[in-house]
Amino acid sequence: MYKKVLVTSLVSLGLLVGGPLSATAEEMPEGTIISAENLDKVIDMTFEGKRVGDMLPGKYEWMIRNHHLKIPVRHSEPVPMDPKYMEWTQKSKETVKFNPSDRTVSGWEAGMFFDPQDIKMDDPHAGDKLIWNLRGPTYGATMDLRHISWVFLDAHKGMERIQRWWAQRYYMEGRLDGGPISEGDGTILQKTVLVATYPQDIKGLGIFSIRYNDPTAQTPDDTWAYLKSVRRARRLTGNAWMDPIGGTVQLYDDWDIWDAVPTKYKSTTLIGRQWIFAIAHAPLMTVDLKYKNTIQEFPAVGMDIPPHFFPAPQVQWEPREVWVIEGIPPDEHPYSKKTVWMEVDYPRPYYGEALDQNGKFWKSFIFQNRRDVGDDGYLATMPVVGHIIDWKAEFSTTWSSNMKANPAGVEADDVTLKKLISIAR
Amino acid sequence: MKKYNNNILKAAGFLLCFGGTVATSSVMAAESPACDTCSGGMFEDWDVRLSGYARTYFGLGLEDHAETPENDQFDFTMARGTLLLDWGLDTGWAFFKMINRYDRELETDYIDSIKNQTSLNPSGALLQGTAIRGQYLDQYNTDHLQEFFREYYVDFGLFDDKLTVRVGKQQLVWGESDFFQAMDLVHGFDYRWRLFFEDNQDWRKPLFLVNFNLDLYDELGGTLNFFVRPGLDRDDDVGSNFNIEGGRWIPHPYRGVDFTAFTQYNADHTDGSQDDPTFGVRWNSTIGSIGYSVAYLRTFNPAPIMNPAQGAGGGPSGTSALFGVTEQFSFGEVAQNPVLGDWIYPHINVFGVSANGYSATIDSTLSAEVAFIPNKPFNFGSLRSSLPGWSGVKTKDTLVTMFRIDKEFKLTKWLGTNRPSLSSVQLFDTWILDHNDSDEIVEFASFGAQKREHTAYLTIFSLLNFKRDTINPTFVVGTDLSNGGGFGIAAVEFVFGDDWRVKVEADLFWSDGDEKKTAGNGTGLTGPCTTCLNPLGTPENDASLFDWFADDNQLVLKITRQF
Repeated sequence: MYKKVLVTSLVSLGLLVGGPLSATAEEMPEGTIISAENLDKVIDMTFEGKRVGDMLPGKYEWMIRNHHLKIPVRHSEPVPMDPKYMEWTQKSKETVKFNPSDRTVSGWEAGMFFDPQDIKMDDPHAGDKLIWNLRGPTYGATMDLRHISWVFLDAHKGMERIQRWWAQRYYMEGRLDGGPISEGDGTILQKTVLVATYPQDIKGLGIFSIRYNDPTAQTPDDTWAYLKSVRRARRLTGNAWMDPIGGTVQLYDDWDIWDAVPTKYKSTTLIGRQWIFAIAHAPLMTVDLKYKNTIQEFPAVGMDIPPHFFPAPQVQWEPREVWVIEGIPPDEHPYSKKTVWMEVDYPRPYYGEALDQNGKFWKSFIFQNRRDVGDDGYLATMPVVGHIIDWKAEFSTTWSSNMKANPAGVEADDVTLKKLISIAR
Repeated sequence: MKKYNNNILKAAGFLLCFGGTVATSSVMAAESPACDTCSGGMFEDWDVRLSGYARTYFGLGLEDHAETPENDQFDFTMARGTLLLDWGLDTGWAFFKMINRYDRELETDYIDSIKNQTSLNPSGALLQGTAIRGQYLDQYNTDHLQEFFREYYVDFGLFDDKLTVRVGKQQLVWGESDFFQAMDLVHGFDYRWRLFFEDNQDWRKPLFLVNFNLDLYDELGGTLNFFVRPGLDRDDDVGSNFNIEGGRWIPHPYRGVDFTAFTQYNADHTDGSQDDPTFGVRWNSTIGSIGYSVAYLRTFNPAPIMNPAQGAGGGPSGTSALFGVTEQFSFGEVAQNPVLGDWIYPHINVFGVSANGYSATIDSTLSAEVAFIPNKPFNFGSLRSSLPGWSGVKTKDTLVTMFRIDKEFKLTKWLGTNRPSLSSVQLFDTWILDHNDSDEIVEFASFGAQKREHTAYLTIFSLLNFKRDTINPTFVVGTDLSNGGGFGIAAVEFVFGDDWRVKVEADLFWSDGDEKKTAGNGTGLTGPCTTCLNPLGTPENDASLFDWFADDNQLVLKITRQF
């Protein structure tokens, strides 16, 4: 009898204690749309064995609860990098050296600077090493930001205006497109041309910049602006790397959420490794020119749904394991801190946040990424939509592009000041 | 007249070629690729693009002008409408460009007032029955095919694009300077409708050029730009227009005076013929991170020079003598206009060097430009007459120097700007190398202030951007360090969505009090005149650039609908 009571009591106790545990263990079905309406219900569920609430980093939960962010969930899927990229990453192990005294690297030729599999949480230089990986050519030797547009989106009023640009970046080092690994005399890391094509008042306004292959980052970028209104190129400050792009809320330094080499920052620190919901399989069509100058032109952005600047309902998020890296920019930078959540297996940032100079939350960066096969067959994983949200202004400039890796026929001489002027005509 | 028709024919021929090329191409009919993966990016194959704007300008004078009997304060000085069409066609092998501009102005009360003045003063009297002058809207309105077809050219590459060629009517800009021109002398500027406040692409006068760019990056680390202007332009297209024909921007005290009533432009002068080719070559490269250019240019003197009429026996013409001119010498050849002379744009040679670079130490961009112009022409003499500078032309070796510092100020914390504010300080100096006071050189014929050995202008501007570049104030201040006076511009542009832009601007001048005054008696062309002012003003020896515009403070409203 006592035994029966004891067993019954233990079972009851088990139900009491185990009840909530079994509830968290409940698997959230694929296709669930996480939103303010169901967040309390799903937050302790699991997805692919991980607790849903643990995969909402930074301000995710705040955006869901307070700003109508909705996250349609799909199962994760591996995204293998190009075999050449991975081979060179292995070769780099023998040649690349990290110098802790000045946080520079030497001996890199191509692939990742450091194999992420070798990065340990207790490595005091892990942050630097991971950001060095990000600053090599991560999605092809040449990036064509085809049809890129920044749409100015007010959280309350929706689309305000569109700026269309033409942009290409050409890496002079670490090229894996079948040609030479390195071009030129080795002094230049990459060259970038960015030219506005619409509307008329900024058409022809453009920038050409050269980033030097200086691991100390002491050599400032050389930057020229072409001002079509006076038909002349004008030299710009070497600190333009931390200026906004045109009138957008995006800095040049936010190009890939984080564009600067680590040594431009005062420090970069690896603060964690976690699983998050991220967009690794963005829609194949992100700029649909059939619907030019309407919100349908940008099918991956929910411009008709307040607050108008989040990913569209068709965009699916999936669990990705990421590094969490925190950077402290130089004092003159608009941000006092930037945090990036970046894929563990390769340098692909999914999400970022920035604090203003007073340490207050200012911006979030949600980047949509997808696979692209370059014209040379190169397997690239690249951002195609970037939601840069200024939360103080409740305003976003969200860019969308039919990005292309390694476009055929583009050579180093095609990304020059002369080319900028030619496009700006 | 023959020449005029020739120019129309030249333009028509070019247009026929342009249109014919387009019309006869079967590829033109092909659909534009709908595109995710198509090649190109900027222009897809056979992509035609059209953009442009419709714009209206209103200018409101803030001061009364002594030349007119009416009170001009708060009169509209400008009511202008502009339609601009910007066409681009990329065929893959060539790029065609065409910019059409159509301008139309209403005759404001102020224009009407100075027009009346023209009919009253001796210049108007002189013209009775001879020619129609003082029709000031003619210079503002689009009334010629070449004005409507403002630019048209084709770009193509040769030798695997190592040599790129641009053929047609275009703008070619060299040099580094803002506001003033050291090496930016390929073209003249039209200062008649807006002085120097607009984007200079809008008042630069395009020319027909054959323009080459040879890419020598691989061999020598730079590019070689060379061009020839074969001399196919209209006479009106060369040199700068200083509003000699009168209008709202002719310097004071000449509002209501049409100088073309007793002078004329002469683009056939031996030393400044439009028909003669002009040309230039520029090497552009870098040393380390310092950008530099070296250039040679043969072009027209940007400012018109008076080649005075001579009377019988080689002395002053009768009219000049009446105005107190005691000696006159022709420049090269005798002026065609027998009354007072010809305005000419003599050819000049310019040797220039420019450099730019960024200094991390002061976080600033530094730019410099030096242009040496041997034998640059200036008018001289007769300083105490009513026609100072009308004695003839002297040539002087001249060195033009510009030095500029650009710096971005991070004002967000204090002003709430959305990005760093570009500010710039520029010093621009013109140095007459063998200057001598006895030469009696003047800045511009009709004003008696002697040109100093150095004429230096200091300009400062700052651009601010608020609310993601939707509110953009601009502040410009410039001063003449040598002669006094200056100008200030305070403007703000508002951006409304993709389509609408509104700009409000205050243009302010100050002088050191040396303005040339209107004269109260009618000594001049028709003898004593009690009912009109002497159009040439009171003789003086002091009025310099900013004295000329001392009473020209104005407000301008510019509304643009772009597409």
